[in-house]
Amino acid sequence: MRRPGVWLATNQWSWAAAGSLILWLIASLLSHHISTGLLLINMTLASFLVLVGLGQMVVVTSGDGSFDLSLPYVVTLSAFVSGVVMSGSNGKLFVAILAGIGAAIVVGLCNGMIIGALKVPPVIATLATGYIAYSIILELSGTSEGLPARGFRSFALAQFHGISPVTIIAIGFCLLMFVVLARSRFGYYLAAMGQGRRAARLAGIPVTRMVLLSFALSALMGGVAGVLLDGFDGGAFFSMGDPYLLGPLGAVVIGGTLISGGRWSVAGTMAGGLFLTLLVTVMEISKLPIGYEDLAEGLVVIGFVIAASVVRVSP
Amino acid sequence: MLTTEESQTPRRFGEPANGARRGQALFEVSALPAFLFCAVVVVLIAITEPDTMSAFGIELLLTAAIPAVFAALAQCFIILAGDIDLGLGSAMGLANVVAATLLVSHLAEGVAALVGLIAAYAAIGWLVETFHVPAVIVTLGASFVWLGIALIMQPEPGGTAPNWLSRIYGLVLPVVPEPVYIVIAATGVAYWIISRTGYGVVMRAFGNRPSALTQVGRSRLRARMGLYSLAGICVVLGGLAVTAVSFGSDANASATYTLSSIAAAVIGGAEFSGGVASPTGAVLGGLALAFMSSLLSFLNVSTNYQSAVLGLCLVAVFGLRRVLKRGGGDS
Repeated sequence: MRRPGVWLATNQWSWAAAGSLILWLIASLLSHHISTGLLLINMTLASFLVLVGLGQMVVVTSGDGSFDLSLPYVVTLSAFVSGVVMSGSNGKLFVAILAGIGAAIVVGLCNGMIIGALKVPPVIATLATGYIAYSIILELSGTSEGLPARGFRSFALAQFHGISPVTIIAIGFCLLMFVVLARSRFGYYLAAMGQGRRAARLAGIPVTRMVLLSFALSALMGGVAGVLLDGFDGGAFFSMGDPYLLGPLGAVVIGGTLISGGRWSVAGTMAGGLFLTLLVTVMEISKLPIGYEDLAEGLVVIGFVIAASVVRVSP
Repeated sequence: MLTTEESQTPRRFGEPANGARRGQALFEVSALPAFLFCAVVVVLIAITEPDTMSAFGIELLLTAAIPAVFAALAQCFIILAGDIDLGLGSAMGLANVVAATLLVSHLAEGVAALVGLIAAYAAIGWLVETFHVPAVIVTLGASFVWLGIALIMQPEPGGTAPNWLSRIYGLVLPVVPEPVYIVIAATGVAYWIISRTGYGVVMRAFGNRPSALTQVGRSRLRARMGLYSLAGICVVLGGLAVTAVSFGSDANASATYTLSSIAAAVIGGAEFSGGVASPTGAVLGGLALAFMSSLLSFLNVSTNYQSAVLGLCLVAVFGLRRVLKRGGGDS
């Protein structure tokens, strides 16, 4: 009896995965047939949440109460920048993708420098850069709709046997992130910092540089999601990043990443993102009035953290 | 009894250098940047648009800022507990919707719902303390709950302000316009609770060093729930203010108060480590941010750039605070 408890407590991703399975079955029941297509569509929709979630996860893992509140603005900004550079034509596709991701990284580096040099708490620093990015977004949205290249749009919307390239890209980044966090020096340093900033500093870990890198990496993930979203949505609009403030953080926490830092879970973030997306789908299929999906999402996030804390304490 | 406890074991309540004890002055050093920021903005407004310095102008400026003041106070109480409330804006939106719908049609149910929201805030405090879950996540989840309930109650913006509420906000008072009294009263009461009552000392001590509270035999649970309840009360007052100012309700309209209230409290000298947060500073920070957008529109700055200016101010105020702290730390 003890062992399964321990396994469940240390593998929190399995809860979200099991939850996703249950929600998929409920969705199938509600629509009267079991459809893998439904699952695949949800995986596509969840991909954006997961990509941004990976970035938030890196920042949260670095510890010291770090959150990246600029991510929703980073997503919108990079969607606009890449859209403006593309402006509907295929010719500048690669430049546009680089420009979109580059803009995101600039925001991330600003975050890291403000936190490192001015010792501003991450919540405030990312809030401030987010505000500044929002102004740039408003300026851009006045001049352009950020139309994606036609080829890029059809790529983002394409399906190979129901599997979207967006899903494949997201899974690719998940694998990459896993390797970076589990096998590289950056990953070891990051976890060590999250477990104890002071100890990490005393152990000779370049904490300031690591903070800079972690926020840059976070913004990079937001940038990738933003550029893809521009293609997927067929253009950019100034509120397109709004769902990426709370959603990714929810996915990260549901997946078992410690909010106090030091422990991450790529599988958990994937499962958490899928779970939250399926939850919204189930709510939409069951045709509940507006508001119930938010209510359910909120209760689920709270329920997950409490269940996790109960399990963590009891075994 | 409390004062003896405090005098016998002063060091147990936080750091002696600049911990809870400094918070007892009405106007702490930590609130100085907020005061300077606010003063500069007001002076600039007076220079660019001298008409606003009439009674009517001040009334217009301050009335619009009242929701931000209550939001800043609510966030101040949560930060005092060492937490951050990411659901504050949505909770104010819910209070706004309740005030503009249920409170108009069924007064008793409406009041019960608003009291329920305060109780829910206390319950969040209970969850955070009992299960050792991070407040950021619980309030994040709660923000969806508040928004969901508000949307279920009222899917589209609408509603009206209750007559009695409009009448309260439309009073004509002697000497200065009514909003001045509201802001001073709110700040004064919050300051009095935190700095002048016995339990206020306990609550600040809790934020500063929770373990110290256990050592002197006081309940950490009660202290956290107390702070969260105070925040809940401010959220409800803020929601009522939004209703009175906007004559209606919109579940989504108050969402911006989440981030701006954090900014206001921090400009006002709040520290995320807990125990250090000044209601006076938070209110000044909230006012400064609210006046800032008025000033920018007087200066014909494109609304597009308003949030960038806000972001730069946030960084600047923080830089100023670092400098002041370094200077004050030696003395």
